[in-house]
Amino acid sequence: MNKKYTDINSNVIDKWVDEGWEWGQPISHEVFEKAKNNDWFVLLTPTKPVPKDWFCDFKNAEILGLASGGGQQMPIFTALGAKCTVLDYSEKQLLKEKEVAERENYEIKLVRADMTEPLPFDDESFDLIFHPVSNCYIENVFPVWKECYRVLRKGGILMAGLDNGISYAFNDEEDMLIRRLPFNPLKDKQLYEESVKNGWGIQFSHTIEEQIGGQLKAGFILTDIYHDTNGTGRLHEFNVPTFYATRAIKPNKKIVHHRNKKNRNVI
Amino acid sequence: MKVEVVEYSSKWPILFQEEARKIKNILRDELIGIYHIGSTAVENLKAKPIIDIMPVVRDITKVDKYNKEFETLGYEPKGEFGIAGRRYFRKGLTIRTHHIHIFEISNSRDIDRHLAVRDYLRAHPQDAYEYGQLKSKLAALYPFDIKAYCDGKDTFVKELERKALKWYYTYNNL
Repeated sequence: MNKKYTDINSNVIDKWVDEGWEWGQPISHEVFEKAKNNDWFVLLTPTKPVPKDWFCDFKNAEILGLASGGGQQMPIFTALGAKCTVLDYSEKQLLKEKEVAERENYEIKLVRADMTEPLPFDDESFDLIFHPVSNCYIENVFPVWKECYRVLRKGGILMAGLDNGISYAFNDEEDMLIRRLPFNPLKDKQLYEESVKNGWGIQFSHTIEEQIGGQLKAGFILTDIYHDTNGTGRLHEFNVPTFYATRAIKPNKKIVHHRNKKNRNVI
Repeated sequence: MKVEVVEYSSKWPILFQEEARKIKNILRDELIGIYHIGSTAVENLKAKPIIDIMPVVRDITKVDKYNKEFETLGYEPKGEFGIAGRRYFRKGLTIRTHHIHIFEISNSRDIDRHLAVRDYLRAHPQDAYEYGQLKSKLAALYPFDIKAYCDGKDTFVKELERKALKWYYTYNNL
């Protein structure tokens, strides 16, 4: 385990993109043109489009696509009038983003960075962060929520697609529970070897405490949520929610969560 | 072709799963989600033993290029077949076994309509029972007249769709 796991993941995702991964397929010119006429959708999770009323006014809004390369969402936001920056650790995902920007002739800031490190942006730089499911590739999600809070302007919106971890407990056929959660190859040598051998990358299950609790602890206010399923497979057919999408805002005044020790002794 | 309404079979979800896997292998990354819809997706509901499948795709215009592969699976590509923005395929010329209704993700009206009816019937067994009874009755009345069978359930189905959508949007709150 010499190489940092995020470098392994970056390489694995590059490989998936070369193989035609669904999240690495940029939108077509037609879809870009349709978006200009306000006919568009974007996904944070596998199947359900994000409600339009989740967004702010796009005109000149500064949007950060966090781990959101691939040329799927940023082109749409650009077509709608936003100024976009995309951060991704996969070179290939950024190249897809660049490909669309060149084809449609617009400016976009491309940043190759590891989101487990502090984000390379000033405080309060963005109006909106769009963060599709991707934190399954990092071990600790809380530092990312804190960084999102820092780089968002007051009143700014964080939209995140979150895996709730359940799928990691199942086998490929999704008919048997085979793994105890959390799924963490860095804490389990056998799982690490299995992950590398199967080309999964180093993935992690996260709980709703880490995912939503983490956002709240970072200071965000949750304003909306919906669940989603895998789109295919048995868990999907049984309507088991395996993903959540959340909309949270950075309040004008920081919310401090008081843990009132006195109350614990009341009973 | 005889109109045949039979008792619910627990094999139907399995037949759906098998077919869904094959369809996923054709549509691959174009596919966003695949759903078992129609009466065979509702437990204990009597139905014509035809599995209705609804794949949802990113871009409907890209579906036509897979027609050959659907034909290899035994399907007959029928294009939109009466519903704008749909791609419809049917399998089994003499004994119909499967219908595929492909919609684009942006077409939430048609997608929601199908999912709403299915989920409503799953959640309201009494309505499902009445619907099953009506279908049996119509199949007995018009065993060789699919048009009369469909006309007969049209009013019920329209009302069902209306109730289901209202319930679905309240429940899903989106």
